Amino acid sequence: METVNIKELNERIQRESAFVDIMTIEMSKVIVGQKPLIENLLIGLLANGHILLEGVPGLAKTLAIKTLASVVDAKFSRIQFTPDLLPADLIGTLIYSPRTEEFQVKKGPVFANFILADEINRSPAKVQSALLEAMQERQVTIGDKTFPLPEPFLVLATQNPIEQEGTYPLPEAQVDRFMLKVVVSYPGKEDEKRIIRMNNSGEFPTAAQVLKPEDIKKAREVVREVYMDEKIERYIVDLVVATRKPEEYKLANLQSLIAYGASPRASISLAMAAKAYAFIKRRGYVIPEDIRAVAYEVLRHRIGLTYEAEAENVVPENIITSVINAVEVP
Amino acid sequence: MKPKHLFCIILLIPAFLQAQSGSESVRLPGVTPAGIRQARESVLDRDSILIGDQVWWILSLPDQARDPSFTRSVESPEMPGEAVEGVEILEGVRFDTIFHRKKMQEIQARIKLTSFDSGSYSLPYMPLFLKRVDGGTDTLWFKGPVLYVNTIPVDTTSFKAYGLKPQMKYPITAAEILSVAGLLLALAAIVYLTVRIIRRRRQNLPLFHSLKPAEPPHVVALKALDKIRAQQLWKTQKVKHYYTVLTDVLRIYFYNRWGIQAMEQTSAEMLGSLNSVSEKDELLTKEVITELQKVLNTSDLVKFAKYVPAENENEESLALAVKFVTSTARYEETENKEE
Repeated sequence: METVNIKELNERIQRESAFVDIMTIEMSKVIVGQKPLIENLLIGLLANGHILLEGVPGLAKTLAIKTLASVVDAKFSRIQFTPDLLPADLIGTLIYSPRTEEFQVKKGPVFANFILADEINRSPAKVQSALLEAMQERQVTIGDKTFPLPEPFLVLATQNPIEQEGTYPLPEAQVDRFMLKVVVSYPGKEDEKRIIRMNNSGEFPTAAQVLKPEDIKKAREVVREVYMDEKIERYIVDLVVATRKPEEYKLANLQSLIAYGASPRASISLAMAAKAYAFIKRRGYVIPEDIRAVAYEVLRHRIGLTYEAEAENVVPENIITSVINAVEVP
Repeated sequence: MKPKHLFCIILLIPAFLQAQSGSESVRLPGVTPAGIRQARESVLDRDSILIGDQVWWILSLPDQARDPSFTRSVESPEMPGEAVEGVEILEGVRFDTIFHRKKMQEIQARIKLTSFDSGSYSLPYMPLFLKRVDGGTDTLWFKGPVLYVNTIPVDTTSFKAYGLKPQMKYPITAAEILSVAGLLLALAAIVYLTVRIIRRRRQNLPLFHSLKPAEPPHVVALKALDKIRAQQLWKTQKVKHYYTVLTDVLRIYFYNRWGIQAMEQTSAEMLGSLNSVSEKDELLTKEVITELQKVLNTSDLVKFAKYVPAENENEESLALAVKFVTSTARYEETENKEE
């Protein structure tokens, strides 16, 4: 039987997670009024999961990712996805060198620690799948050689929920590879006033570099050690199964609204994200609040809705709320 | 012209004439009075009638019709709807025998007529077919009499207009009362059943079985807590189970007492709900909530963080839970219910 000394683990996490506060402070200097976004970026970073950001233009999606990269001393690449982008533009290609009379590997921008895939739905499926394959396998094959991607490797993709004309929506199978889908909302009135002042002052704040990639790797190891009780595991499974078989959880009314429920990958992501959340909260164990805190981000892109649901203006968030309110908390 | 051709033409002339004259005076389909050498008289039982009155048109058959050695049967043609335009045939030919001193005197054919338009109507020739015993058929033609149809004379000098008569009111019968009462009863029963089904479903209760009056929430909770105390699960190394049962009892109490859906809420959410309820419930003081928070925190640590509390801590948690229930119990309601 696995033995865990929670007291010791708690103390360790208290020590190891100290950087979280510093990192949050540094990022908050630049990103104003988007605390949940910063928190979710940290969850993705610590849980080793890729993030899909969705929001209307001008909500500091790109700035947030750039800031995150600047806080960590890591290589950052920004790829603007356009309809004419090719997989080779992303992963790299073989170039013939007349001097050596050999093909040389020219690595693409995907070889970086942080990848910002801006407006990922503007590129055709072949480019999207090239990136998503790299995300899943964490390696890229160019010619006959396979190159591992650097660690940490985090893809942060953005997509715009409006202006759907000329876009290539991500297929369900590929969306599932993102651990979190974060919907970025507008900042509050006071925060927006601060944003105006910051931009008009002429001295835009910059975030200091406070972490190294090794720190992230170390933190990830600690996150994996966060204790998750069997009761919490059962709760995660109940939440995920309730999206597949709502009738078993007194949610028969959702049956006609859900085309397909969350995958087992959702259960894994929910567990990992909850552990990361507990780490951020400087706790050595997961409680049901942690699951609830990350449930929307983990599940919203993994629940397929029927035409009936769309006709009734039901969104995945409504389904998740119903599921959370129906499943008994341990 | 050859004599043979002349003979044929002479033969066809009467047929041609018959066809011509028939087309002028045919009133009844399939019969033609043209070329009749002899037609019998017929009478009406009244010469004149008022509009809408009914009258019999009587056709008296000859004596041969009564002779069974000569006549096999008498048949009538198919009757149209009208004898002439304006005179309707209500009843087709009905044969009637007239007896006198137990001896058949006459056979009459009767047709019932009526008219709804005033004037004089010359009734058409009427054929009857006398089927002979030897297989032949004699057509008997009867002359149509004249029928006078009169309107009701209105004295315009003394005429006084009256309004429409109201509908007659019949006395209401017992059968009518009973049927209406039955319908009302059935309707009331349907409404009652529908309301009962909806209410029972909402409360998750059986449709017809009357349940025992529910015990007040604090009684239910205290009984369950007594049971936990008796089991002393923490002494049998089942601390986790002990705290799970303890928090479940409290959650059920929250639901029964304040309607908080606590089974689906986390500890923080439960405390949040209790804080919002405390504004309306003076029994739910801040001190009581703070003590409860202790129990919930300990139970969270035990359930999710492998925390092993000391024995006195376990007993204290139970004591705090009992204290919470007793200090927030609403006794007035219980007393009222018992009364």
